[in-house]
Amino acid sequence: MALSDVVTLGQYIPGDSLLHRLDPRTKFLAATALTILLFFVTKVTGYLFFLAILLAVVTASGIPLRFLLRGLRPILFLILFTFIVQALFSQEGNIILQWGFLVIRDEGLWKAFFMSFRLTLLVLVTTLLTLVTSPIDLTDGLDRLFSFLHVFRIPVHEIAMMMTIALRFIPTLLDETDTIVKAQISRGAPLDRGNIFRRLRGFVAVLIPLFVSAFRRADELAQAMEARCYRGGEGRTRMRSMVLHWTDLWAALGALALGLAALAFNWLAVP
Amino acid sequence: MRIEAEHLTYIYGPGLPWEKRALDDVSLQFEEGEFVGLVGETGSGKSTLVQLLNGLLRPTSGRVLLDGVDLTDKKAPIWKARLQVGLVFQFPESQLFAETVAEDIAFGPRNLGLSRQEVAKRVEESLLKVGLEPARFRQRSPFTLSGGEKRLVAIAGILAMEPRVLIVDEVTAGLDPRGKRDILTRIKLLHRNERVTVIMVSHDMDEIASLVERVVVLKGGRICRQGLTREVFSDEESLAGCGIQLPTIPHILSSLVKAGWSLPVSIFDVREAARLIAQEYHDGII
Amino acid sequence: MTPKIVLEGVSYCYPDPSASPVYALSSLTLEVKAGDFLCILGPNGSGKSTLGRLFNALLLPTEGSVQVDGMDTRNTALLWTIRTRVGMVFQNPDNQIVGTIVEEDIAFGLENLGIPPIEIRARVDWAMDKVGISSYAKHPPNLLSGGQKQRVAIAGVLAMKPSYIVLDEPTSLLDPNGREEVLRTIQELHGEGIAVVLITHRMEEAMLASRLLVLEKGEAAFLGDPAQLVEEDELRRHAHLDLPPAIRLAQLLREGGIPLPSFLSRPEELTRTLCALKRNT
Repeated sequence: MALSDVVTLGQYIPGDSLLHRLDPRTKFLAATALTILLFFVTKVTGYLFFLAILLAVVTASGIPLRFLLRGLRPILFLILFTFIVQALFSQEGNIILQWGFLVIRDEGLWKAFFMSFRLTLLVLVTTLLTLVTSPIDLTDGLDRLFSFLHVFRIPVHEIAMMMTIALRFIPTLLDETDTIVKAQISRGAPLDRGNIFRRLRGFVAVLIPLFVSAFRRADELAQAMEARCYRGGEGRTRMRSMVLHWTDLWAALGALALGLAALAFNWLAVP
Repeated sequence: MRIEAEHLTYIYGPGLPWEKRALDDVSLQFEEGEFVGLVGETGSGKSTLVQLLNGLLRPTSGRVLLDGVDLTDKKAPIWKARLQVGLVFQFPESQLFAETVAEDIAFGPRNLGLSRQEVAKRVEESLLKVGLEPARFRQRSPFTLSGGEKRLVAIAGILAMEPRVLIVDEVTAGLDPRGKRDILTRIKLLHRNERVTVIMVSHDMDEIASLVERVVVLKGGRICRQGLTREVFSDEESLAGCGIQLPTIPHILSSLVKAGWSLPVSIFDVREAARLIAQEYHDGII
Repeated sequence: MTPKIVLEGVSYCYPDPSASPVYALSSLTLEVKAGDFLCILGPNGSGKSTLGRLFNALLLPTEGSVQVDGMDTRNTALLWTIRTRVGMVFQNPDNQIVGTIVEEDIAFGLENLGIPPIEIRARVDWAMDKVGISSYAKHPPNLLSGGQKQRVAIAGVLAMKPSYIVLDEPTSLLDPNGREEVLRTIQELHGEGIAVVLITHRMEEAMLASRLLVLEKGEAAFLGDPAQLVEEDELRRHAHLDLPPAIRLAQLLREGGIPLPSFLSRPEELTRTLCALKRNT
């Protein structure tokens, strides 16, 4: 029972819905396309349509809505900040409220609302992607998707391997951090008490052993990988196959259709 | 210092799907100056118990008393009290971080707020207590030491806080036979000279049998058996029920007893065992 | 040419620009034939891990040569063939597992060799079955015990169909149950015909081998079988190799007049033999 059992990796929720079973490359491209499309939507109704799509997709995936909304928590502050900055510092439109040098205009308020809404939708799209795709699938998918870049000397496989190893070791490193923190607290290190400066000093006693251990792990792991004939991506095969199915095609077309519909809505709608 | 555990219960992740009752109503006493062994299969609750005893964890219910003072009392300045129970984790050398051995050992005393002279004095004394010559080791970088030496430095770091109780968790893990012998000798000497209470957590029954006066066996978060060493290591079946084996010599003796020989089981000295077996063997012939 | 690993006059020196050269290994000559079970025994610092890494060309000898089935380890063109022929399992269970789940890690070596996916799948399933870990196929490594992780590492090497497996202190970081698991697996593999080189500092494990090499400060202090080592009191004391309690007991009983055979490798054998002797008198 350790830290790694409590902290879940990313936001992935295992499941068996259509969305889960789609090829990660399809999901990634769909998410990217929708994100780009989002920047062409300028009216509220367009955003609302987008939101409706997202909610429908989440429902189809069988994941409770609250998990989607939980993805907003880390950036709630940013959304609020965006809203306030836009509302207070916009120069367009007529003044609604004034309080000393703080001015709120009507156009500014609309703009604040739009930008916050857009930011929210962006985060929801990426959250959705990570909810239905496991980190390793995503890494694997990106590896295959961008493998053509190796023509331009970009080490796509090696980058993907680094990410895979990082994912593999996160729980292990979390457990180790837990142990080191406990050991140093047992020596009176001010990690769980005192002001921020005292706590920072205590962290040196955690970071250094962690780094030393991480470098040693890397060295040993490299030897073990070489002993099993690892030599980079050249000539490497994969046990897991990633094959596109008809469902991927339909899903991709569906995503495209929805995106275009949102655009159309945008042009035709009034506000 | 007397340590008491009163009806300790600890639950990991209460309310979550992976909720686990690591300790269930455990009550124990450790008298001043005792040398006690704490054994049990992996997952029996040993590390949880040990972390509750030094105040790293707060029990879900129950109390820990150090010389009658309730460690779990919310109003008690827990962090100073917990430092009187020194806990040496498994592979303690992985917690070394300072530039020199002296700096690392000084970490604990400094956190206690001791004066510079006192800190220096404690560093010297701790190095001597673990058998490392201060002049040779004081200024060296801990990362250039051998595995066994690093471990001794880590232990010195805990000793420098002059704990009244010393808990060592798998203190010989990963060491070669000589390293094991050295560390166990050190601990035995420490127990004798400093009169600290020592609680030794180990999977090695031979080690435990050779050192401790009393054994506590945990299983599934509860006390399965406890008592004097030779009492606990006398019945193979009940120990198997607790998930652990007898030390090697008692195990051999127990197998012979099962085959009909008349022998005591809790003998830990190999010469004594040889004498008794030979006697029984020759009696059979005559 | 009989398949075997041959070390001829091998010395290894760690590169140290400042001081005079430190020899981790000096003038070792050794052979490991197909199906052998060799144990390399010695305290920390004796050079045994260095020696292990010479077998699969992770290290190259400073002097002398290492030949695997006729292939010189200095030949970079044959590096991958040599490393497929000689598999290696390391001491730290965690720091050799690369995959995010067990079966992915076992496939790692085969993927590196560019083997077709269908064959990889077959070999992975076969290796997991041989080692007895098929039920953990989809588990992430951090949920496994030390003993299970080491068995995953062994399966990962086994899948590459090596002729020799070198294990560098595979049990020294494990609890007694894990140790038993791993030793049992190693013995089973040896039973299937794979040559085993077991590097350890534990005498109990050395007793399982058919041949022992004791290293002391990089030099060969003893090369023979375990029964012989049991008799070499002076040597053992020097190298801090205490007899396991069961063997010491057998020795004392022999001195006390009980006609026990000269060598017993496990406690169970002692009890069995004693009972048999008593019945016959």
